[in-house]
Amino acid sequence: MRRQGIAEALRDAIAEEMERDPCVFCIGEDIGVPGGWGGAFTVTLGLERKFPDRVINTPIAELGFFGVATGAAIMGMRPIVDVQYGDFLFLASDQIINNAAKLRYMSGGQIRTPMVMRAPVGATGRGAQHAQNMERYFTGVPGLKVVAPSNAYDAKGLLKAAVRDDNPVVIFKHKLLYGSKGARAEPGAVDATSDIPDGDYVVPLDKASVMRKGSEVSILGWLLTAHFALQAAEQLAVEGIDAEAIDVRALAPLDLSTLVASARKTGRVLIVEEGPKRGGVGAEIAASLCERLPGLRVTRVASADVPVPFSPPLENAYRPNVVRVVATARSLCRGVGS
Amino acid sequence: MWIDVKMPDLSATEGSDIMVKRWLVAEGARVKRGQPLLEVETDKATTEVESAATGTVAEILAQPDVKVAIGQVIARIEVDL
Amino acid sequence: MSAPGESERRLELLDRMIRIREFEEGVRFLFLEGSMPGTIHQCQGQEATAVGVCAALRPDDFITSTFRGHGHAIAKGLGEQELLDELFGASTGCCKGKGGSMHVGNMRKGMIPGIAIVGGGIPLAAGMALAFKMQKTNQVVACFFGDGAVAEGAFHEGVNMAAIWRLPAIFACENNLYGASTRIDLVMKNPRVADRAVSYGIAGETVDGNDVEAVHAATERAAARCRAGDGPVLLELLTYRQTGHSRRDPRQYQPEAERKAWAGRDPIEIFADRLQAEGVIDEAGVEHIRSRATQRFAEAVEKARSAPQPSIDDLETDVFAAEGAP
Repeated sequence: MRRQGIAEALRDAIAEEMERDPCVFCIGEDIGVPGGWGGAFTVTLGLERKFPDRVINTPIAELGFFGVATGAAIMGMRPIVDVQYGDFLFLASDQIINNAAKLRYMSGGQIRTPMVMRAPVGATGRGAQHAQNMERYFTGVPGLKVVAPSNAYDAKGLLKAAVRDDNPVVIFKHKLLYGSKGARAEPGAVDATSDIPDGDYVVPLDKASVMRKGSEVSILGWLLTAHFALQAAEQLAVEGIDAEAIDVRALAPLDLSTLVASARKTGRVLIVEEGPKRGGVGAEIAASLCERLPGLRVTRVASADVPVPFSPPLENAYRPNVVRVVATARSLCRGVGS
Repeated sequence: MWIDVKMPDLSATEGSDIMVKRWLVAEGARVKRGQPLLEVETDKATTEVESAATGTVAEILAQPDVKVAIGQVIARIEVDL
Repeated sequence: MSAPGESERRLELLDRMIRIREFEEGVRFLFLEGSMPGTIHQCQGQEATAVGVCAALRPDDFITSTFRGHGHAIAKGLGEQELLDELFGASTGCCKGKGGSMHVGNMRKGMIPGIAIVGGGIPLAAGMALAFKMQKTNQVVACFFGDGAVAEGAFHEGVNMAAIWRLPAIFACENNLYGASTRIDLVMKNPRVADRAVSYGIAGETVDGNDVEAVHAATERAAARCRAGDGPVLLELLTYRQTGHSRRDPRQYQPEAERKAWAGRDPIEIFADRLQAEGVIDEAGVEHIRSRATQRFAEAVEKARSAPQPSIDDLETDVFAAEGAP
């Protein structure tokens, strides 16, 4: 058992999977340069020494190398392909959405596309094009699975599950969760470290995680906002509001069994999402819950419908925070003005 | 073996009628696959209907200056086997 | 003096080209008659590129194709029945009716479903070649695309990566002078596609795409390079489309003189004439190949018209592979 941050846990996960299965390989920019960074967030640091033929550095060509990964996958390899910033997924989207997600269906089931796609998201002071939460653009694509770990234990387990799944899986991580340890920790990083067991384990791709049981309101978050959900629940407990905090974790498919059970129990759902409220994953969660539970009260705490600003006070206002979540939950439970 | 020559969907606007203008072959004529049988006028232009088979024109069933619905049988061809 | 079996191999090339022409002409009339759903993008006039390339490949080599893939499919070994069933949307089609004309393919015969996004198959092909290299299988992938795709970023990115990693990919550009209705010299300052090979540091060749034997020989050279580990090849195959871009296209953007000139260079006629001049076959023999192909098509159509359509239960299958599923 070791305490690790997400970057290290992922590094171990990737190394273990590559050890276990010679078809697994990594492909992306700057991921295996000797003396380099191990990718933008150190995840692949040093892996090129252990697996010199299976850590492939690409030119700056996201559309191209996501297509290369897809082509390799349909011929039996198991690529782990990554972008340095989730925002760059837009460049690759034709290959991801029109090819990887659809080749099995269009072929009448002849093709398998075992492909893992990793992308860091979230606002971190770099301006609008290196800051977006990208989950919403992929959760609605039939043929893609989408997950979002909030801690090191889940990150490792989900990565392994994704590698072993025979379908295209997008794994989003939040840049502020990569770890307080490690070479490139961001200022403002939340502690997402976990105790990692020594043996092999997976976390299923289609299950949410109830972080704290409660009875009056269900607070749903993922990535950074999973931490906010839990922190808010703990603060609300002090004022006598019993909140259930859930890490949604599986964004496509949603774990509706867990989410509906929670919503049915509490009757009040608060969805916390970093990213513009309009058209977010929260909208899909809200609609899915309301269809099944007439009379359910649902509200969302999300970002304003603006591109991500640079100036720190504006970026902080853009990002949801625990104060807003607590206030909204209180209002939901006790009525407006309580 | 006979095949029906049906008015094909040549119009630019989906599903509009097409006018028979001028037959280029007579009953009894030998035709090859791809050979133009008649001229027709669509909403966009004058164009030709080709024979789908090689054989002999057995019957002509649509007259010039008459509008015909898409799919209507306008001729029959006895196909060479 | 021809090598043993060479006449048979050459006649097989002719037979395959004629089968493609009969298929495409037959499908054209099925469409005009209103019998077939959807749309079609046909390849009459481009039989030599499809057949010449595929004949130089092994059964376990792969091809990627485009929305104009019927000819590639027949050249690679797919049958008229599985293709017609697919075009009729039948569940017995090569893709169970879920793909349609633009996505025909058969993995057991080495063809992935057509990629209908222009250029989209080029990075895919590079990836398939990467797998072959990593798995050390000595397989090759031939990637078909048109002159129009050369303008797409995907062309640049895919060819470049195949080049830097020396991947066993043959990038076969069927240059028919038009991207949809737009002439090539309006979209490229240098309309010689093969010239671009130099900028990627790879081998490139321009070939008479209407001479099936020239195409075949060029592809054999390219495949040998690939299997030797010398990297990808860019083949530019000069050809012409004798049919519209898609179903309702009367080709009014092709000047009459140009059309006539290319009609005089029909790839099937060129090769049939050559074989007759060399005494490999006579006129009756060519006619026999033609009527055999027509017959084959007619029989397949009859079956396809009554082939079973998918049931509603099939709508939501084949999205994901279950664990351990084939």
